[in-house]
Amino acid sequence: MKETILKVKNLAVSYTTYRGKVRSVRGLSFKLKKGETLALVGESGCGKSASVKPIMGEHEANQVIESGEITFTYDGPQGEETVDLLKIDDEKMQQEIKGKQIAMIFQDPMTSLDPTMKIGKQIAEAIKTSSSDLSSEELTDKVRELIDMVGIGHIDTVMNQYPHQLSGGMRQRIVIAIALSSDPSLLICDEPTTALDVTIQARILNLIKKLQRERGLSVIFITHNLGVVANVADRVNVMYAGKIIETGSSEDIFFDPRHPYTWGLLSAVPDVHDNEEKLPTINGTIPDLTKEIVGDAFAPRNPYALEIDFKEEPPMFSVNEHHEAATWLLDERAPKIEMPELLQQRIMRMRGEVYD
Amino acid sequence: MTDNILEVHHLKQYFPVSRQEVVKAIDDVSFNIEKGETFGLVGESGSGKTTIGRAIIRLHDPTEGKVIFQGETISGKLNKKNQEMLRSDMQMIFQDPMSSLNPRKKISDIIKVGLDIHRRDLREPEKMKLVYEVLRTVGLDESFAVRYPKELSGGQRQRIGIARAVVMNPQLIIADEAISALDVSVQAQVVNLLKQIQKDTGSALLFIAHDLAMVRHISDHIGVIHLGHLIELGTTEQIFENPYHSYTKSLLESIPVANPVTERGKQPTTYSATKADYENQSMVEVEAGHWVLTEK
Repeated sequence: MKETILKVKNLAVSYTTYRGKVRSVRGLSFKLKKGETLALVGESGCGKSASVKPIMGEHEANQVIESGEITFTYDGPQGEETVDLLKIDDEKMQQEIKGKQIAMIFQDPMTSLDPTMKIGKQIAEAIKTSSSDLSSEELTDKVRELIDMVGIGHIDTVMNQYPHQLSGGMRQRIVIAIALSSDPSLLICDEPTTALDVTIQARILNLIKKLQRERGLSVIFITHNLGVVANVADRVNVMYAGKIIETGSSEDIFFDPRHPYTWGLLSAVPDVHDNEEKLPTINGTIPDLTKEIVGDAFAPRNPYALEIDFKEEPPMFSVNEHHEAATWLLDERAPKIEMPELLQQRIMRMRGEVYD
Repeated sequence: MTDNILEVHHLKQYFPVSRQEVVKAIDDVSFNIEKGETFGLVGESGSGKTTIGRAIIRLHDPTEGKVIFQGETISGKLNKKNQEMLRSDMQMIFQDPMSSLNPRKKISDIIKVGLDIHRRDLREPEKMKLVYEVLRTVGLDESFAVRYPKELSGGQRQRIGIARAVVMNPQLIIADEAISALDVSVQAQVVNLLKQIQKDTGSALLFIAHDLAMVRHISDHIGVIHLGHLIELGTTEQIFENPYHSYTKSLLESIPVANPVTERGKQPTTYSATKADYENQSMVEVEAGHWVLTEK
């Protein structure tokens, strides 16, 4: 059994806006083990980013942490330490955790880099914040090592270039190098390949996976692209309206999805083998999170909704020891409902590809 | 070939960046779009696919080459009649539905702009009737007419972008990454809507995108762009079932599939070519209607 390095318990985050309080995250619990990749999937506004911001110790002026606990275990200066990231004082967060133990990669590599500073210097600056006692030779060596690590061949040229002279994929490699300069134990990737082309995306994903294996990193991967999830994730959390509605291993989610929202998400992606005239869609829009939600938040858009879905919120039903879904369809009293036929066929075909 | 709504012949679009340097954004691109069909244009960012769309609709002045729309040449100097025809019969849908809608105008006014300019023969109530009709076509009710863009969600805004194009009853719609800013479930809605509109009005669609699965779903013909060159052209089936060019192959292999088992073990393919490699090559027909850029 691998050790758990991050445990989020009943986290609720809201934002005060002129329209009232937006309840972005409404009671979120999950665990992350060492060396594991956890994907958070969902549409925009489902609370993916809002739920990882408190982990990074990012507090916006209008952000309110309503409740919850985020326990993080790491090797600190005084040996192994376990802290609650919501209660920890700012100085400790800043000096030991943010950007040190927990690093982050964002969607747009251009905005994470300083446009007026050469790449070599930028990486050196990042190294200096975590290990300040290096001589200038050691520092240059470390910079070269990091650039080499992210698979860039012409190290000397790149060191003397500015961010705008690099392509999007190269920039994202540099951002990864900077993120890993402090030797973190947890890496949070927020849509890191969304702005990149498919060919470059494949290479960056491969790089992240390689580095993860080599360094035993734990990764939280935020994305809306289910293909990317299939590529990187060990475990998947599907989020809707600030809650996890289904959680399981990649195989559970892709081969045996149970929540109607997960069905909808999986079906809406056109498959290269399908010949459907019309793509299946999820009707309606995400609920207004300023209003109190009664019952299942997905019920108004759910063609399979039961009467109880509009009255009472479904608990997490267990499918197997690592697969859970919050839908009343899994209650033993519920009528038997199968996933849409198109999706069934697709899964059959995928399983065929796997076990042939 | 009279059933082509649009013919693009040897289109070149160069942008001078300094006195010595010229960026060849599009280099010698030729393709045809038939009446009522969907032509998908795919390629990575910076490959020039957007520039092609913009050069066709004359947001840029093409450096060289010829664009023929409904039998009239629309590249080069436009006379008044052709200008009028181009501006009303060809419409564009943009990627970012927020920045392409005027935030200070009501939805009805945004949709009506084209009618105000090109349909002087219509009186106000007739125009409003068309606006309400087109709102229904894109799946929104009449109450949206008096709202402002900021009150709408991304998917609803993109529907307005489509409504604004469709209200002119165009023969060709250019959709430039029209769905890439939207969520997966909303993307499917918008694509279904575009297909339905095409079926009802018979207009052709130039669908520019980098999402290959979506392009496959919507297109009849596909052109693959790399480094400003059209490197492969054919029917959707030819491109997906029988790709010739190694760039097309690497592109197809890179599409992430929602299958964790096959996806995890996948090794990224490497493909590298420079502009110079393509410059001396020309399109060769490898099977009926399937063209590939290769050495002569």
